[in-house]
Amino acid sequence: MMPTTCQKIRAAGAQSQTAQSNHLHANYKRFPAFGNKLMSMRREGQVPCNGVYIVFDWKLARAFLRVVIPEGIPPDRLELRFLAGLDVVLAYGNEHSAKVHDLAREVLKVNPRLLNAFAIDIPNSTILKNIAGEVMI
Amino acid sequence: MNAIEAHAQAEFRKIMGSSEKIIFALDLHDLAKMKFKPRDPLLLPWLHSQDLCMVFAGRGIGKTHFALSVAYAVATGGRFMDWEANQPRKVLYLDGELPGTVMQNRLLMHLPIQEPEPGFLRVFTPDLMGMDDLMPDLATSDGQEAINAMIEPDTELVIVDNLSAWARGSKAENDAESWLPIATWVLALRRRGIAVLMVHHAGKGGEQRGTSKREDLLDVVIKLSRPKDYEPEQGARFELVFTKARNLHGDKAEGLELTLDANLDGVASWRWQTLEGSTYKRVVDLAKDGLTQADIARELDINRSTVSRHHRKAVTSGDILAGWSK
Repeated sequence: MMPTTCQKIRAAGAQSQTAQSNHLHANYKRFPAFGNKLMSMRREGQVPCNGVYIVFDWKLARAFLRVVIPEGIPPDRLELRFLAGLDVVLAYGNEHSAKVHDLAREVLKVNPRLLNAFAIDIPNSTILKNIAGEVMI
Repeated sequence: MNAIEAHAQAEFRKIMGSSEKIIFALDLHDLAKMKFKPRDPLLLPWLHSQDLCMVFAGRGIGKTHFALSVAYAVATGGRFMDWEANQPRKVLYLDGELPGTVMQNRLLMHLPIQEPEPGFLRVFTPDLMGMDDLMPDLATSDGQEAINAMIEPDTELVIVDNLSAWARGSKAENDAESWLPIATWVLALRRRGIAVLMVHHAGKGGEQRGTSKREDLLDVVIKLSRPKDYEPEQGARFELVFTKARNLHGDKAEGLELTLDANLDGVASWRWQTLEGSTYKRVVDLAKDGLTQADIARELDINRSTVSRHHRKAVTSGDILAGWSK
């Protein structure tokens, strides 16, 4: 038998109460460090002149416009829409290389103009999305 | 704007839905599938995440003592009276009035055995500001931004002590419009999942000072007042009544009588009983003194039927003899 609307509401409520981790709701997305400010700027119509760096390490890309990915937050729980249409460089060291693939997929969902992954320890640069819109991941 | 910037903005608008803010309604079936951020219990039974609360009282009754005890209970995952926090949550206490040393003393006075972990209770006091700095005003967007900068992303409770000190504005306090900027701010905090407890003064009539429009928005309003038989030497003794409590019913919404004691070292402890129990005790004491039920009703400023009910109960339970008051 199909559940009634009332049952669906109750089930959704029960799920909301139980399926929690670190107080974040399943639909709640958290900004990476500096992301909130970038979002505010974009809402005001401002566009960064150069690309935006995404880093896992606070020591990296300090001279550039960057966002820092917080530890322990799955990439699909991150608010990244402020990257839409921008040139994005994902810069990472060896210790974070395992996280790059999932994060890159999340970044591609918001449709950056260009996505480049830069492994600083090798060093090696891989274009994951080019300006023609071709995705290589 | 060049072509690349225009492209970037077009993509941004596309992914954000539109350049304009959109409000929309959902079909019941779609709404049923939505997952909203749940209300986490911060201090059961009355304080949850996203709750907007106010506690108000006249001068010197014990508002700050009360608010600090709430702050400690939430920050440590501890207890305040029968109210219980299930886990530590980050609290920001914004004091707008007390000198720094007085605030330090009060914080020490209420410090529980299990202290909050570092970062779980952060306190602002005006003495932290430079001599030339002006206190942020919650009635202005600049002031709100300054205060927002103090709110860490994982803060779950903000206590504003007190509303008059933090929201000065240019409009009169009883002007409903003066409440609008603050209402907008607290609603924005609610959307971020943060609960707010505002400490406020009572007016001359005993109700919260200023526009009553404030209470429309709030989930919980707590009134602290002196008991009728209060004597100044009793210190911080007051009655607590939930004048508004959404989602709070029955015994949980019952009023309380609280007394704050401090030992020789200045460490605070609370005694409390339900108002019902407190009234019963007072009726029994006065009946034993030989007062008539009418006199007791006058003395305690309560209905004669209430006195009669407590009297009957006391006679039945043997607390007083039937002939002690008429």
